[in-house]
Amino acid sequence: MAKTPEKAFYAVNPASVRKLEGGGYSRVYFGAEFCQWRLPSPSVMLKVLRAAHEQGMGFTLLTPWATDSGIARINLLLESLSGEAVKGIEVVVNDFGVLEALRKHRALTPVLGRLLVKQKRCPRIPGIVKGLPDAGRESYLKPGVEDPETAGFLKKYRIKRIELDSPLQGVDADLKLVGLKGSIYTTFAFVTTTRHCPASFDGETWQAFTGCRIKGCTGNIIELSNPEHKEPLLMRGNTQFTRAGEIPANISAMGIDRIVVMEETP
Amino acid sequence: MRIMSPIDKAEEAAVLVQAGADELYGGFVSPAWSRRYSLLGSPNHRYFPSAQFTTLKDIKRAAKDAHASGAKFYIAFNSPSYTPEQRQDVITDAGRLMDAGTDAFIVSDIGLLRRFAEQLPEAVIHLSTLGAVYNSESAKFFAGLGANRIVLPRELTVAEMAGIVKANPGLEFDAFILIGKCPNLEGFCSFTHCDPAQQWPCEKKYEARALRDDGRAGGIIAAQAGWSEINRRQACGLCSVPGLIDAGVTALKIVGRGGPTEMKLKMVSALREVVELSRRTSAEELGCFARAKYADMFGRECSPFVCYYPADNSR
Repeated sequence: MAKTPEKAFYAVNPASVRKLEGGGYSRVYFGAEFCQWRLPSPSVMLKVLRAAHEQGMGFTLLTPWATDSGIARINLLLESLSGEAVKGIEVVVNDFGVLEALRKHRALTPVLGRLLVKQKRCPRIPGIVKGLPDAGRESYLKPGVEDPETAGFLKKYRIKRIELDSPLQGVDADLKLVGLKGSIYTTFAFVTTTRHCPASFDGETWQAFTGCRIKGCTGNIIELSNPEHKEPLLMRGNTQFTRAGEIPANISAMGIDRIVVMEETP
Repeated sequence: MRIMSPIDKAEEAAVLVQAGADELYGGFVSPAWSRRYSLLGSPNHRYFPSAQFTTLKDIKRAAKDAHASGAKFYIAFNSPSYTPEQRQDVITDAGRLMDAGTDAFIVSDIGLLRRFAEQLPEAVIHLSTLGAVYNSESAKFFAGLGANRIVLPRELTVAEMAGIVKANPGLEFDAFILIGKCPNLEGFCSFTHCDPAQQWPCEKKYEARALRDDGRAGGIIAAQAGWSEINRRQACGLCSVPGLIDAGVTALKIVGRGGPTEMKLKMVSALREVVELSRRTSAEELGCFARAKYADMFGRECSPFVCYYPADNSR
């Protein structure tokens, strides 16, 4: 009988972690996946980590793609995490430079993030894949890691878990074949992200290029609709999402053993 | 400073090199690949026929014409990901393309990089911009996977590029300079780019509605709408040529696979002129010249939305 997948909570803000008891969650995800200027300070991160542990939950730090200055900020977070006498801390990596940095932090477990798992997620894809030959359609459903070369390389960097969306055209994976485990995100699927962050545009340039000081940039959620797209896009901060497809019933067979619950777009 | 131009047809090679290109790059989809996966399963992130070579005969001619003038010829295999079967088909094709004169391959997928290293170790590899190298450590990571050159993402500032180049003296680097700016981070973007009208989801006009508004939604909606009000194919970074030369970038890359020959020639000639001028004039004077050149090429003033280096060139 298939094991029930564990549930993780994607915390968009630190306060939401205080009252998760009874929700059936075994882990909290917190940090920033899409913007280095939105990374928490080490002290805020540690508060969330401790709140999670007090409720018996594990902790996963989300990290974004990063420039050299962003890598320096992420290094501060990794050093703070390494100093914690807690086992099972994960770091979701969305930049191979961060993966390199993690080689110095053997106590932390790297996880391959959604930006580095090259799933195809555009909301137009369901209409496109219908007309494709089987071999072509497969490339729109698979996460692209299921060969010995890729999986072997990930293991060299201690990666045993990858993060997946549930895009509208569906997902197919055989992670067990290559010894990987997967997490799948609910409610919203990532589509695209930008450094031309519309919340940071001042008419001449974008603060996000040089050191963003915009506070509360995610206080707005914009729905973007176009008659050619069946599903609208949801834009928050510098990132666009779409509604996630249904989580497949056979995720255990695919090697997916964790569901990451996103109650709102991050 | 080398100039890299897109190429889609064998007969373009000689004229592009004559116009000033030092390096040419294109796409290749064999008829067998198209039958098996369709062009919507393209191995090179372009999903329309005008951006593809389809025969080894044409590749041989293009490479021969490029080499005759000392230029290089590259082929892109830069799909964000492949199935295992597709990776092996790419390697088979790449072996034939090397025999036909291809000097390097532009690649981004980790599994494909590994297969190149194992099965075609003599191949020269350029990491595509889809590899998303935003920092010095990431460049080192891909060097460890066999990359000889890195195509830097469009979204870095010139100063950030300089830092990455300086930290990786054993690598070569490309920077984008003309045509085809992306609103989003191309290495992470999963929008499809297969609309027959070649209007991509990032440049379409959307009806925008604030589901949550803290008083700033109107400005955010206006900033987002900016992408549908410009032509991203008129993107330009000519003002930044001196900075990119100082940064130690190896080649300036013109976007536009699948575009008309006349446009490619116009871009190569303009860029050659600016590169030559940058040797004997101040950055300020060059900026004035570049802006005038832009207006001449595209019939309009430049703007932040079409500027490749807006953080470096905001006035």
